[in-house]
Amino acid sequence: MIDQEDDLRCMERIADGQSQALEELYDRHAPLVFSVIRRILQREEDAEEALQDTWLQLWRRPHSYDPNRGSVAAWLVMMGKSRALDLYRSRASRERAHEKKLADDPVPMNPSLSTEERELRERIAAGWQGLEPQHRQVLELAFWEGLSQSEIAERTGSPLGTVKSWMRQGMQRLSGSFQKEEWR
Amino acid sequence: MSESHEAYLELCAGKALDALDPKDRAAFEEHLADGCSQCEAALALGADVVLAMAATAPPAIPRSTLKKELLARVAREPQEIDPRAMPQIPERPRPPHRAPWGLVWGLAAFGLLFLALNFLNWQRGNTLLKERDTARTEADRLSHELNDVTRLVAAGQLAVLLPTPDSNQNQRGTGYFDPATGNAVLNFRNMDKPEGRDFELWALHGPKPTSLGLLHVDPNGNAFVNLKGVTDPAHLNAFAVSLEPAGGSKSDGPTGPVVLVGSIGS
Repeated sequence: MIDQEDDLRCMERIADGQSQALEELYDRHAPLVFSVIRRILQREEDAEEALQDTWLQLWRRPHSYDPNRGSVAAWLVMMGKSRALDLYRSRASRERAHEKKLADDPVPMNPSLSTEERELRERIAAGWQGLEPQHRQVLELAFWEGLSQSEIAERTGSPLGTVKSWMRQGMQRLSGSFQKEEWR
Repeated sequence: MSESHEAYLELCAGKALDALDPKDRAAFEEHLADGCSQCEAALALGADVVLAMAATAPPAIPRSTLKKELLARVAREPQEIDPRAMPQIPERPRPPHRAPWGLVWGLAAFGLLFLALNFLNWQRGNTLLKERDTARTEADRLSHELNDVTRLVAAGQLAVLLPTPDSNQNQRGTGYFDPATGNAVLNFRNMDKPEGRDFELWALHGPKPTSLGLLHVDPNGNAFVNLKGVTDPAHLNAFAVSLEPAGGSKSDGPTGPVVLVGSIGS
């Protein structure tokens, strides 16, 4: 679905100061990154700010991407998620009374998704639901709430070593469920 | 697989999710810096899992005008210079004698290669010797130029020239300027020079422009300028580039549109 080679060429062009390549990456990945940000931040304007910050960071420091550690898409998702969690934490203290997880109020499935993309999402969701509860919990706490492994251990009352093992096992099993898919 | 390496593999999932505690993160980064293909493969797998988790979020599309706003902000944002993309320049605290080892070894290798070729082709020695001398002269010139750059990076102020609103937004100028000596190095990229026109560089002392000469743009749109002793450096506050008729402006200031401008220390 996502061509890493094209993304790498875009990264080279961005490093060379070509903003058109930044636009190409935006067209290709902003919807996925925005979906993640939108799930963390409930307000549209906050989500837009986090998305813009993510792409500005990409523009300022394209060399911080290391292709040996995963795809450009995953790197962008992690940057967007990190920025969204930072915003969420900075605003949560003064808006705690109004907090409500967007996940509890899901956005309707976007009709612009292709059949292929929708089916892929469904297969991934099925793999996700097939995880052991403890594996799913540690992955969710790390990804969606941005907790460190020791914070997860404290939250769940589990030993730190157990949390590390669950996280690794959860990743291995989740990756096994979509390994054959074209998701890069 | 050693027990200690198994511990690093255990950390890969946490690293991919940015969930490692500081001590583990530092140890893992150190391990990766030494090079570990197994851990890098595990991280790549973790990145795929990150994408899968992202795909579980309810799909949402940013409003269409957001991209335009973003690109407008990008046009005003300078990029950070990546040290890895720069020449082998020593860091500021290093003593000068340790500076250009990369260049020294490179020149040494170049010289050896040249000597070897010269030996094999000694019957055509005259031609090669002349070429060798030319190359050595060029290498000496580059060595001096690199030393200039090294000193400027250590002591100079950053200069970033950004495109004016009506010019090509991909054009860039970056470099260093030393207000004590008036020396500067400037590197220009994506310069789109029309046929029969020339880019001219200007120093601005307040509103008063002083020509610093033409930019010699290569076919890829790049130009490098090594300035020596710019007049009244203490009061120089900006550089600018204008597009002029071939040969440059015939007056005391720019006659064509200013396409790049940037203040010193920006």
